[in-house]
Formats: sequence, C-alpha cells, structure tokens
Amino acid sequence: MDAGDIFATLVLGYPQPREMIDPRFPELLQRPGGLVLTLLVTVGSLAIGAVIGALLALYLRATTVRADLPPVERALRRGLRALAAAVMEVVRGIPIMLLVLLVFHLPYRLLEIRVPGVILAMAAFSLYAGVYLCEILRSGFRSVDPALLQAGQVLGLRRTQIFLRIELPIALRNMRPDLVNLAITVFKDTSTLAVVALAELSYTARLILISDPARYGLVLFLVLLCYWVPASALTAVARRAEQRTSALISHRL
Amino acid sequence: VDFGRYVFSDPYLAWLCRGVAMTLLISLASACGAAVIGAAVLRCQLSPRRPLRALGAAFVMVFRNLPLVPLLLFVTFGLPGMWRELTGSALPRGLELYLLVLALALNTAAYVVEIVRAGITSIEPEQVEAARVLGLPPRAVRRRIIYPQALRITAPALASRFIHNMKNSTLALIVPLPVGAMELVGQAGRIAGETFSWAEPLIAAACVHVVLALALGRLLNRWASREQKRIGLA
Repeated sequence: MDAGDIFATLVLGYPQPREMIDPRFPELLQRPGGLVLTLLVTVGSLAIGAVIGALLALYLRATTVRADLPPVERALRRGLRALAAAVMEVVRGIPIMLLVLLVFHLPYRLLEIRVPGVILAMAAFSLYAGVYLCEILRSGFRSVDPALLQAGQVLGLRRTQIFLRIELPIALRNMRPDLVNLAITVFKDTSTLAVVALAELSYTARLILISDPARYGLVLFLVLLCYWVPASALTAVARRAEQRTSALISHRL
Repeated sequence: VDFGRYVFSDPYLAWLCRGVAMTLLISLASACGAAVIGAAVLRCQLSPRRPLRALGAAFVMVFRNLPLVPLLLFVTFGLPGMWRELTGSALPRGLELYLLVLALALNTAAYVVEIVRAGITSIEPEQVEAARVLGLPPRAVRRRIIYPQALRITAPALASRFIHNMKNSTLALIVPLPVGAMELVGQAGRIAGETFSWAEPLIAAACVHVVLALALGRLLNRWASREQKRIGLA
C-alpha cells in the first residue's frame, strides 16, 4: 500500500462484506467505514442528541419549582427533577467508553435483540450529546437578559415572536462556542468505538497497522490529519459566523 | 442478571477492587505526569524565543487534536515496531503500563496548557509591569505573580480536567496490560472473558465510576473554590 491507498482506506474504510449488513436496517447507514463512518456517527448523534437535549431542557423548564405552587405539586416537581438530574449525573459520570460498552452489550443480554453497530453507536453518542446539550441549552437561555423579553412584550409582540426573534437568536449566539466544542468532543470521542470493533477511523487505522506495521509513522500522521482537518474547519467556520453576527448586530444597533 | 454470581463472588470482587485501585493509581500518575509535561510546555510557550513557542504550540495542536484511541494504538502497535527498526531488538516487556500513563499524561497536558494559558491572559499586564518596575527579575515575576494567580483562577477547570483524565483511564482497555495492572473496565472485561457475561461487571464498573466522579468532583470543587477565594474570586 502506498500513502494514497492508506489515505483512501482511512477515509472510506475497508469494503464491508455483504453478510455483515443487517437487511432489517437501512443499508446506507451500514455501508460506510473510516472517516465517513466517524462523520456519520458524529452528525447523526448530534442531530438526535439535539432533540434529546431540547426535550430534557423543556422537561426541566416545565417542572420548575416555584414558591407560589401548592406544596403537593412542589414536592412532585422536585421528585421529577431529581429523576432527570440523576439520569444526567449518571450519563456524565460514566466514561464515554464505558457508556459505549454498556450500550453495545446490554440490549442483547437483557432484551435479546441484535442491532447493527452503527445504530448502537448513534444511540450511545446521542445520549451522551443530549445530556451535555441540555446543559448548554439551559445556560444559553438563562444568559438572555429578561429585560429584553419584557421589552418585546411592551412592544406588543406575541409569545412565539418573542421566542423566535429575541430569545432564540440571542441564546444561540451565546451557546455557539459551547456547541462547537461539544461537536468536536463528540467527533473525537467516536474513536472509542474502536473498542467494540466498529470500523470507524481509529479501528481502520488499527487494521492497517496490523496488516502493515512498518507504516506506523505515516498512518499516525494521516489519522491526525483526518481528525484535525474537520475539527479545525468547524472551529474556523464558527469563528467566521461569530464575526459576521457581531458585525450584523453592531450594524443594526 | 445475576450480580451475586458475577460481581460479588470469590475471585471477581477482588479483581474489581484491584481494578479500582489501578484506576486511581493510573489517573493519579498520569495527572502528575501531565503537570510536569504541562509545566515544561507552558514554559516553552511563554518563552521569548520563537522556535520554543512554535514547539509548544505544535505540542498542544497535536495532542489536543489526536484522540487518545489512535494515540494508544500507536503506543501499542506502532512503538514496538519502531523500536525494533531502530535498535534491532524487541521492546522490553512490561513497559505497557508506563506507556499508557505517558499517553494519558500527554493528552491531559495539552488541555492543561490551554487552560492555564487562558488563566495567564486574564492577569492584568499592569501587575507584571509593576513587578518589573519594583525590580523583580522575570523568573520571580513568573513564579511569584503569574503562576500562583493563573493556577488559582483556573482551579475549577483543572479540577474538571482531572476527573476527565480519570475517565480517560478506561481506555487502558485497548492496551494489552498484564492482568494485575488492568484498571476497572479491564477487570470487568477479564470477568466477562471468563464468564461470557458482560452486563453485570460492566454495570458494577459504571456504578463505581459514577460514584468516583461524583465524590472526587465534590472534593476537587471544594478545593477549587477555596483556592479562588484566596485571590478574591467567587
């Protein structure tokens, strides 16, 4: 294998044998390998994680304990919140690799169902991203100055208008650095999937190293490149967007 | 699911306890290593010499962007091959644990450097100027004014990095260690290898990790807020 072959294998993965593909699940998800699979798992689990995170944040918002509520309802809400908090603490306290191992081993053991690795990987990382996203969303919305929302009310805007035009844009802008960091973290952490033999970038690198141990230096350099380029591209795009919005805002004001 | 048989029984419980001890040992050793490497890299980054600064920046760029798994794969598959090519003899056995600690330390050091550097930039430059005017040599300025403040400002971030480093120690699973040196998840895998049951030892390991993360997190946060109070923060 020359450098070009190694690079192509790292990006696309080794071809999947036909019998490895579970016909009950979409083939498009199970075909890719290498960097493509890494990106697929990252993007997929960030998308599902966004839904999970938003639902968790809404759940915590809906169960806010206010002093004007009757005592029974306050106690009930405290209980519901403690439940969500416990789940979130557990997911955050478990190392990601242990979470991956649990998600890969428990469904078959407890429910006797077999699911392709990609789906399990997305499940594990969606949960992981969802819990962190919930925190990011909550602190993002908390950072919006309530006076701005009152100003919107005074101007006669409807609730949806206030949310879409004032609360959401400001919160999103404040969250952007954290969102980019989370995306990069998830992207890099998908390398733990090598432990469960999912043929993503790191596992492909391992296969190459086994078949051709003399090329370690080259393989390591190319792997570094494959992780570095998407991560730094995302950082650069986020920085550009940051500059553009701050320019826009200063222009409008 | 049968915890009595696969977790709380004769050799297995002792294996898991051994795993907890190794997890703590590996994370402590790699954190110390990260502190030493981080201090050296930070010194490079603060140097007036451009090549040293570039070296520091390159270190951070490489080890922050290279996930631990490929780094460990290199350590376990690449390094023995490289050693053989360079010296003509096989890599001495029993080095795996040290290489694992080194890899964890390199990864954590890159983050520590970034954190402390951010802390340093938040110190007013006037303080440095004042100290220089008072006749303190640059070395004393660094040791007595910059570092103590930067470490206290960044204490919470450093504490959470320590927890992160402990969680990263689970990646030891991909390093072929002798059974006595395996950490918690490695021991869980060892039980699974004997009993063909992954679920119980994994759940037990997860519980231990959650408790460790919560307890150590509490402890370190207390320390961090005390350090921040000493310089009038928080």
